[in-house]
Amino acid sequence: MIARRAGLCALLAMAAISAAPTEASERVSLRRAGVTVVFDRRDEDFALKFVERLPPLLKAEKVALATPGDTSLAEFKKNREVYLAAAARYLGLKEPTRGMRQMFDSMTKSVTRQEDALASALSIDTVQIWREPELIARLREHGEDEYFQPGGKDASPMPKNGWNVSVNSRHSSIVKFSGTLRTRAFLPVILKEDDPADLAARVDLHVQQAADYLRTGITADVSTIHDLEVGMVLHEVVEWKIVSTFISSADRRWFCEGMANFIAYRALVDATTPERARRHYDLAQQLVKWGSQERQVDLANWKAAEKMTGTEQESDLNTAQYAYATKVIADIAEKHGVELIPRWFGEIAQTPRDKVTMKTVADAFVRLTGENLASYYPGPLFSLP
Amino acid sequence: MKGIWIPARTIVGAMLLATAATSAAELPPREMMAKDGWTIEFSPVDRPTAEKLAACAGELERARSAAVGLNFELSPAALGTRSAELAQRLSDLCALPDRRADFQAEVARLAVGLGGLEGEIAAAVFPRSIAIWRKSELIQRLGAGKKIAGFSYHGAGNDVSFDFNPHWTMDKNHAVTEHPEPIGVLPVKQPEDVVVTDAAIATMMNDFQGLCGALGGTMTLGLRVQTFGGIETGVRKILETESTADPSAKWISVGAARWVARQALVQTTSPQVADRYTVLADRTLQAAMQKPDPIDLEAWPAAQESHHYAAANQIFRNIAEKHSLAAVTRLLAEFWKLPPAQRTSAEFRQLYRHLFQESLEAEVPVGVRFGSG
Repeated sequence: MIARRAGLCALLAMAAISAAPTEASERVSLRRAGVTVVFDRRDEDFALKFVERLPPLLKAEKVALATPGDTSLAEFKKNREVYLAAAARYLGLKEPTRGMRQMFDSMTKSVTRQEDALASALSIDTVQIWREPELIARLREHGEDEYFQPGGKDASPMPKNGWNVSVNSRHSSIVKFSGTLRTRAFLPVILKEDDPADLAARVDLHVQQAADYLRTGITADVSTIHDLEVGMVLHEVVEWKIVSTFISSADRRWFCEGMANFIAYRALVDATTPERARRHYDLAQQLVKWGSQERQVDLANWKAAEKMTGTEQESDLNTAQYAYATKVIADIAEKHGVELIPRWFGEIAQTPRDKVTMKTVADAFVRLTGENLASYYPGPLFSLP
Repeated sequence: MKGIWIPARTIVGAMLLATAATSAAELPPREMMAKDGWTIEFSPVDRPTAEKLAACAGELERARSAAVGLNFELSPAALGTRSAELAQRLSDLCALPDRRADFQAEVARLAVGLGGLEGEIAAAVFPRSIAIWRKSELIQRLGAGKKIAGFSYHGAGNDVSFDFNPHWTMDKNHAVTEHPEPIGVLPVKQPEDVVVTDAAIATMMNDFQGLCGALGGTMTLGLRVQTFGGIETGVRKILETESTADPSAKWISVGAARWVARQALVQTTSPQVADRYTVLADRTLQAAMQKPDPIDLEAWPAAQESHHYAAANQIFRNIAEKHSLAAVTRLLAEFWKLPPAQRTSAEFRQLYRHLFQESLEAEVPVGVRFGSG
């Protein structure tokens, strides 16, 4: 994808403007080597000057996309043994197993593919130049469109560049931009009434703003991608190990997901710091985000993923259950210390895996703590005693 | 510290009536009747409604008593009973065994303060008076400039509303310095020129029980939040007496106090119950940590600054998460061994490095630093 951008500078210089009617008659576009610049015909002078300055912006974008954050996938892969050893300790294992290593390698390959798909999607293919008052008026009249939504009290336009990624059954990554049909990011250029009157100064200002937008946006996105990936890989490795070694009964869901999240987080705490681990999974933030689902959360009856319909899997409630399952384990660790977790797995392992159900898990918990596991299940925050 | 305000607009909606007004001069004097500890105020024309309500006074009182008498984990009474146990946990967590009596005195004083406050809140929130009003009467009286507690007249819309907002303040010695203002009466709507049926009264009884439950829950939440704030304040006071006057060390007593208060609640009850006490503090912390401005923890601002409080607390949470709960207590124990003049932020950081072979800076949230360097 990034190689495809080679030679962009030359092509931009040679391309011609072509009028392309859009829904507003005065909107026109010019296309240069894969990048479409859309603007009002009255701003043609600005657009032409701005286009001349695009090559270094795109080059900087390319560099930002290729620059790893402080938890790059490469660093994560390199330190595989450190992370897996930390996770293994919480599972009561002396060291990571061969299967855990294989799962780690397989998962990191999968997320590398995902990373490529995201990097491609995050590289802009469109520049949208708008006069701010006109864009605000348009959003007020018609509501959000493919590129912008009204935001804040003053209805200032907000670019719709938020993304999410999913993997289909063929393990291809699919990137979607929130609330749009777009598959690629775009660069917003908003001309304001108090912009400098001088054309060169105005172009300078917006080139600088565009550079800031691309740099901060992409740096944050790349960092977020890496953070999510690292947490996700560890989660999957731990969950696989729990299911393949300790419990595979149909009622296992919350325990496996909660433990996988918690142990992945703890492994990251041990290998790095809590501040960095929270970038991979911030339970407090997740609980705030999914708090509205709390009364519907039913961990004991949370179906295993293979028993769920597609709609059930994509529901907010399903996502919320992850947070509340993690909270149960985090609460237990807060009350009894994290040392209880490997001891708990040791107790569970006294029963052959094919005989283990959540009753076995709860019984093991009673033996260790004298407490009822169900007492840790979520209840309404403001419930009356 | 500021108490939680109790929104009471649940009552307001029921009061908005829809009929035309008559003149103030035509309004008859109000009458009163009493039964089972309740008083009912009404206009003569609404005596039938008043009598029906009076017949239900016993039921009203039972619903009220059940809500006022709600018991919860560390109610003021339980706090008083368990003050020794809590003080033991607090002094252990703070690594200050010699100050156990001071911790107990703080908890006991908090229990007394909250006990008084609990009664005041109950009296403020749960009235034993009912006022039956027609909208036309209210508009006439309020429009003529007469004051009726809780009611507002909106002349432009020819409308009235009822609202109350009890709030309170406790000082750092757990004395109530601002008292919750009583709601006074429970307003009951009387439709114009319509006889209130038995079915309508039965519905009102149901509504009242629901209202009592909701207000009881809100009151309990307010007391829980106040309990956590009081424990935190008490711990901070004691830690501050152990620290030096060096302002660089302020973050240590502030950060440790909230962490210790939370852990004491977790150990005394459970993490889920502790959440009920710390929910507002946690949300404030979450919001404060979103603030992007960089801060220097060793330069504590004169005005209360939530970002500083949040960051100081987060560091103690991080230490506990990284090294265990016991590690925080061990760190504090070593800190108290230093001569008072050396109990500074720099020495604390040095101790941390010595004990855990790593820099405390690694546990600091983004944008937070020690000193200007």
